[in-house]
Amino acid sequence: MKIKIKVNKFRRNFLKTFFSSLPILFLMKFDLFFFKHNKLKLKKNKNFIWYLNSDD
Amino acid sequence: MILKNLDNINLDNFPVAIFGSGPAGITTALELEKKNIKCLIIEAGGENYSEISQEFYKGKIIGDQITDLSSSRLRQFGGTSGHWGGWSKPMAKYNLELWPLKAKDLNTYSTRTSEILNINHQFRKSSLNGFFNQIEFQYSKVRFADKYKNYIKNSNNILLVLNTQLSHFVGHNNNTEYAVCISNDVIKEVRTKYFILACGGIENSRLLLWTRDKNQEFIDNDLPVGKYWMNHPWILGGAGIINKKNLKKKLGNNFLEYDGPLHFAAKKELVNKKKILSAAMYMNAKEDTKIYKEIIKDILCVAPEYGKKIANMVFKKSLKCGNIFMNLEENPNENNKIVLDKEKDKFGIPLVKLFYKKAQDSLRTAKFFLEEFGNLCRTEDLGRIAIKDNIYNLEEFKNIDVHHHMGGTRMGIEKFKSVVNKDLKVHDINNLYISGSSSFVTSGYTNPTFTIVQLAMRLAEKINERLYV
Repeated sequence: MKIKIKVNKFRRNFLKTFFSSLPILFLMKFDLFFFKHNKLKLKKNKNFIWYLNSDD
Repeated sequence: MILKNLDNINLDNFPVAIFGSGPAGITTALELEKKNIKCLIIEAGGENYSEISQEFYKGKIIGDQITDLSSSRLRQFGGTSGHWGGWSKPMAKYNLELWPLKAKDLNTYSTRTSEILNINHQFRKSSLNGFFNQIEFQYSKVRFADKYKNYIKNSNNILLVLNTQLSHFVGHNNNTEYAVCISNDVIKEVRTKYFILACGGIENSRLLLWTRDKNQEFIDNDLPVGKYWMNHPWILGGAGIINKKNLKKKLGNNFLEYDGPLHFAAKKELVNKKKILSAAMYMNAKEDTKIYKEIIKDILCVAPEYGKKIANMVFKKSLKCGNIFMNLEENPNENNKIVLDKEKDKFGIPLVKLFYKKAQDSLRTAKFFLEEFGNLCRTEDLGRIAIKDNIYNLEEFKNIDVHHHMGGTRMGIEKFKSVVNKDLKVHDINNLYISGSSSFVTSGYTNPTFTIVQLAMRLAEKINERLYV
């Protein structure tokens, strides 16, 4: 009986943590998807500083 | 009529005398002639270029060096229009905010100005985003002496006298009585109703300073004659690649396709947000294969993925690669000034000393303009931009030099901060006017000749009003 209660509690906590962190995961993915592409990267070549995207 | 000197001429019938036969002087004369007003143009130089004549334009530059003053301007019929670059455009509206007259006061004369400069009256602009416009200049090939020589020769109302140096004006009780001129080594007095000094962005200050030296009570000592002198730094700001296909896609039908380089100018919003001056950038007029190849090589080195992406576009001519040149505004600074030197010319008129220091604000302008433009290009995939390291680090810029001499007899309302009023009349003197870029309050980024011609036309109208209205 005690074991059953512990498992239920564990399952409840697990589900609670899982669902509460979903929006954060979603936001993280959102962030990666949109902003990584336009992130500024400066690179010097000869006497010029180039304004580039990070995936250039 | 054109004469070689002032000998044996009856000047009684000329109510207006203009000193200087450059764009400012000739334009005013042409406009006065249309109103049937006779005018005399006195030109210090001859009909053509001569080294002896250029000697009078010698001067010392103290501080940051610009092109020698005897070669950056021309002392001859037609003035400096004899070797000007020809780029023409009215000043941006926001560049005139500190002027006592407004853009609409000048725009009235724009169509006729384009006629005089033989250019299309078309200065389109297309908004790229909140901070930049794609803009359009027109290119004038007019040399005023070539265009108007025969016209003046056959004119009954315009008398052009060559080889006659104005020395100074003489006047009393707020009135100019006569101009002292030297013609054929003889001193002559030119008496008329209205006197217009139109000798250029340095000479106007020199001759007015000399006038003040010769008769102190005539020109007020409080007038800042010679001060607030300005130039247009023309610099190599960087290099870059513009993807014309994407630029056209962004601007749609508003893309300005014309036979010339790509020009972009700062909007007022950028100037305000970054607290900079106005500026424009220019990208190669002609495809230079060597620079083209170099820039593609550079981009493959710093951004291989992007380089690969655009490599196949090179042959489709969808790319514009080149150096980025910039026209920068310079803020009016009291310490940038023209003063009289101890050394004198052949006629005993002091030569000039120009105190000049490049503005730190112009350097900041170049950096923040290009930084914003670079970010716009990469985020909207319009291309990739590089800034020269000395500009990026705000160390210095090298002025490749254009010869746009402005200020010195600036326009304004307050006597202590300006020399002429909005009608170009010298404060407190009833009949002395100063025309040309020396009256500019701010320099903007635009080449000055278009504005010089507009102002000269307006001046003719003001003289006409005073004579007949």
